[in-house]
This record gives sequence, C-alpha cells and structure tokens, in this order.
Amino acid sequence: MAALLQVTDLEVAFRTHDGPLRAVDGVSFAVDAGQIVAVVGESGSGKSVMAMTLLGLTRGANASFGGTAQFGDVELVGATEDELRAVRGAQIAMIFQNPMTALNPVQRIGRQIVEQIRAHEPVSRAAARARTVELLDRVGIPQAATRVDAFPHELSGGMRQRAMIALALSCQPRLLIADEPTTALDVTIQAQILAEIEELRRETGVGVVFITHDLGIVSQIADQVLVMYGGRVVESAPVDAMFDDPQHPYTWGLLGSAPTAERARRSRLPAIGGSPPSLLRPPAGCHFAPRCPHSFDPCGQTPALRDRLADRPGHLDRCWLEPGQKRRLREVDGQIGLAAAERAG
Amino acid sequence: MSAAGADRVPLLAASGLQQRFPVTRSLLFGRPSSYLTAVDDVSLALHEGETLGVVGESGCGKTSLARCLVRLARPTGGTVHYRGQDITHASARQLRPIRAEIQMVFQDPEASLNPRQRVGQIVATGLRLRGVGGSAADREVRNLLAQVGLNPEHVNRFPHEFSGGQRQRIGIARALAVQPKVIVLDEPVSALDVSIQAQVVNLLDDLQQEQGLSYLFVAHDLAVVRHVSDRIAVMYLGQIVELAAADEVYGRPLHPYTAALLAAIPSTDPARRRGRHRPAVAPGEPGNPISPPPGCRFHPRCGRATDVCRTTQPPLVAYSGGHLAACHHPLGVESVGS
Repeated sequence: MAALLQVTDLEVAFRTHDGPLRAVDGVSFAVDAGQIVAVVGESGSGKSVMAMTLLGLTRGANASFGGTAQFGDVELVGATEDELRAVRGAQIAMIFQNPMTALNPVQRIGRQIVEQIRAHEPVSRAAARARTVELLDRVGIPQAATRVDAFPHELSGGMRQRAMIALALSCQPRLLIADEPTTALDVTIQAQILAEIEELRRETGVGVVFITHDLGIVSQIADQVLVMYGGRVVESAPVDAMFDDPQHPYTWGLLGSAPTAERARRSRLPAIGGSPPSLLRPPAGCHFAPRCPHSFDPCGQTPALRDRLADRPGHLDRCWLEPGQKRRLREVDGQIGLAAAERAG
Repeated sequence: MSAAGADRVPLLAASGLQQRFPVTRSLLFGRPSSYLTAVDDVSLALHEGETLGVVGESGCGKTSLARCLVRLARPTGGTVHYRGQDITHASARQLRPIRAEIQMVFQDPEASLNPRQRVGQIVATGLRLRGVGGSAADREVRNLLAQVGLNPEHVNRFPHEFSGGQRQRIGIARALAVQPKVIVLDEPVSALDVSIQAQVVNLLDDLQQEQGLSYLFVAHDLAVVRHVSDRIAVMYLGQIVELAAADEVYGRPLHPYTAALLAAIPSTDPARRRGRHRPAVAPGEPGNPISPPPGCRFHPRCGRATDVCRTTQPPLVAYSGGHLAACHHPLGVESVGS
C-alpha cells in the first residue's frame, strides 16, 4: 500500500540579504494512514518550514524549492495554487501553535468552521452549522450549541485549541499537520488535547505529522520519530528504537538535556555545548560536528541518512560513528546523554 | 534538606500574603466592582542556600507571589520579611540596601534587557550601585560575563546580537553584579530550547554551589523544578496546596492536584512509556480567580471531592516529615488527623 504522504528530498531555501538560507536540506519521510509521525527539533531546525511547505504556505518571491511531496495523486511541492486550494483544509488540515493568532478574532468560531465546510462541500448553511455544533461537541467543548457563537477571545486557551481542532477536522481530512499544538497550554490541558488527537487518529484513521520540541510528548503519542537538526533529518526511527537505542549523538544530547520528573535533583544535566548552526553558513559536512564531542575526520563529509544497523532496516541515521561503539559513547552517568566536550567550544 | 531550618531565621519569608487587583471600576471615582485575588493567604519561607521551587499553571499566582516577595509589587495583605526585617511596606529608600541582596531574573530576556544599552552598561549598573566604577567596573563586568559563560570580549554588543540562551545569561550576570544573597527566578528557562535550557540550569547550579546563593525558582515545568529544587510549593488558584521536600512531592504527592499535574507530564521514562497508559487527567480547567469555587478550589476537577470539599476550605496541614498539604482527602492517608 502506498503511503498517505511520501516526502522525498524536500529542499527549501530562502534568498536573504545575507545570502541563501537553506531552511530544509533534503528531508525524506513517509506517513501512513492512522500513523503519528513526530518531528522533533529545536528552534531553527527547519521543522515548521518543512511542515508549512507541504501546504504551500512558504511560497514567495524569495523562496526556492526542491524535491517532491506526493499526497495521493497530488504532488504538493509543484502543485498549482488551485490544486493546493482543493487539498488544503479538505484533505490536509493544519493545527497551529497559537490559536489566538490562527483563528480570526472578529469572527465567531462557528462561522469560521461553517465557511470552511461550505468552501469544500455543497451543503446548506444550516447543515454546515449543525455539523459544526457536532464537531465542537466531539472535541470536548461544553455547551457546543451556544459556544458555536462565541468569539475566539471568549474562550480559554485550551478551548480555543479545541475549536481549532474542530476546524481542522471539519472536512474529514486524511492528513493532519499539527505544529506544536500544545506548547502554549498548561500541562493538564495539554494532556487533554493529546488524548483528543490520539482518539481521533484511532477513530478516523487520519495520518498525523506532529511537530514538537518536547520529547515527552513524542514518547507518548508518536509511532515514528524524525529528529531534525540544522535543516536535516539526522535520525528516523520507530518510537521505541529512538528512545531505547538512539543512534545519533544529537539525539543523545536531546535526551540527556531534558530534565525528567523521575530523575532526582543534583544529577548534573549532560547539556549540549555551543549553540545550533546558522543556516546561512552551515558547517561543512555533518551539521552537528562542531558541537559533537565524538566528531572525527570523516565528519567533514556529510553522512547519508541510511540504516546502519543490520537487524533494524527501519532505523536511519546520519552519523559516521561505528554503530558498535555507540552504546558505550552515549552512556553518561548510567543514562543516555552526550558526554561533555573535551574541547572548549 | 535543612533540618535546622525551623529555628533559623529564614532569609525571605511570606506570611499570610495576599495580592488583590481591582478588576472593573465604574467611571471615574467609582469603587472597584470586583477583585482578582492572585495570591491568597500564602505563607512560605526561603532558607539560606536552598532552592525553593514554586510550580503551578498559568494564572495560579506564582508570578504575583514572586513580585511581592522582591517587593516589585506591594502586597495588599500579609507580610514579607527579609532576615527578620519587615519589608512589607518599606519605602523605596528603605528597600535600597535590600535590593542589593535580592535580585530577580525574568522569563523573557528580550523584554527585560534594555535594547539600547550595551551589555557592559547593563551589567555595570548594578556595580555602580555597589560603588564600583571606572576600570575596576570594566574588569568586574568582564569577570561576570565570563562567570556566566559569555565571551568577555562581547561587552560592547547589544542584547539583540545574542541568542535567547545568551540573553538569559546576561540577565543572570546583571543579577549577580550586586552580589545578591537571594535570586528570584521567574520562569528563567521556559523560553529556551532544551539543550540551551540544560546549559542555563547547570549554570544556575554552579553559581549556587560557588556563591551559596538561595533561589526561589518559579516555573510551570515540573521536570525542571524537580531538577533544581530542594523543596517545592505547588500553587492552585492563588493558594499553596502542597509544600514539601522535592522528593516527597514527586514520590508521595498528597494533594490530588499535585498528582494530576505529575500524571500529566509527558514522560520519556521507559517504564511509563511501555504501558502507554493514559493517566487520569484532571478534567476541566482551573476556575476563575475573580470568583474562585467555594470550599476547596480544586473540587470541581477532583475525583475525590465530597460534600465537605464543596463547602469548607481545607487548611494547610502538616503530615509526617513536615509535608504540608491542603486537602480533606489526601492521597495515601487513611484518616485526617484533626
């Protein structure tokens, strides 16, 4: 069965005052129906640009693209605006980080959802409104029949995010792109929204691209994980393999840096030294090499993203290190982490 | 853990602290029609050399509490003591020597650093207050920058020339310039990426070890708070619902709200991941601090709530090991001692 979405060698570059900025540099991955693919990375890793490019939201005079993104019989990167408009909202929906800026503040939420339904389907206003109330109810908004006439500012942050999910679901999309959908929310509300997204996936079989910087969320809802660094995917694996046997030093660093509620005080966090690369002038070869305590000569060349473990064909990484050594190298105080750099840096 | 803490005079202490803000005023000289009680009868003490974490969700009053403690705001009730001295209503002049001992680091380094001042000037302001000037100040600024892990050569740069993590380091250097005893940190790492967050957390840890600083660490991220704190206070709608040693709060939470908060943290812990169990999530949302629910403020979201919870506010009671919790039906405690 062909994947729902197949992204191959996606490249996005922006012409800037200071030269070309390669925001996305050869990203490939696939999403199946009913699958949650998490994309993790820090600010500037290219994860949001990658997602927005799938919906044609990064197009502009200074942007150039490469590679393909096949969604059914539409190729999204080269699609015309008309083709994209037919897909956007109807077959691929997006949930943004900040619902306050993503919803229209001067329109009642119901009207925004009705508008989307009627843009894609020939239904009456009344039928669309009835479906809207149903949707709001379904995503857990209490008193949906009255809240349908609320303005976004009249709802709490959690309720606004639910309204946005209702908007995203209104045309039964086959693919949902969620860009940090819970980052602006409190933990107890975040847990509710995550449960909601998981339930939707189970019930409707929607495929989800879930962008986040929070490894805890990844471990809880993802099936497949992509780790992005400096515009590239540095590791791609099923979720358990990613956490139990991570292959890329940047992934080790991420796992080590995140304090966990289970870890007691005074265990020093094995932080990653330095800061992420500039995408205007990325380092030659492996983008992580300047911050990597394990870098050696071959790192001046860019390693391909491929499977390096004989017994695990689905686990890809971009690292020249010998897989056999990694288990030893990534061990810091009995936990996975990045050892302190020997060099200052 | 400070066993001797009880008989020592705490460094910074709040007692029955209350902070109310008027919400709506009728035209001109009208009286406020209602109040938002951001901090409601909060008592806590920060001891020398310790880190006291304050956690809670947005709107629980943790930032208002922090601002009252450093007297950036004047509380509407209760008292604040610094080394036994009442500073609740101290004037700006009286506060001056105390300001040199209590510093604050803010959440958003973008907004809390003057964009038109060079880093050297920003950090040197505190030095001037200490009476350090001229070439001695120059040397000291460079020392401070090096101490927080910045390049001393960058004294003449502006804040916008630094990354978010570096800007937070500048804020820390500015706080250190007056050689404070206490630093109140309001969400100091929540605007930062994880790898940078870890660097700043480690830096704070080093500074505490070297200089014997005391921290009041306010944050919403329970994992970070656990990592840095000796003791933790959990706030809900303006009140402390639980206060205990960090390991106690995480290992044996007594208040159902604390338990719900802990359960809601997405975990990378293999044991919790394996089961992929969806923990009991507190339903609903925090109430409105303008008209909080009667009785226990958490009762509308609590699975253990009974009639008494709907009518009577539970007091903060000490359980074994000095573990404080405000709940009629604490978890894992059979009958509540009267």
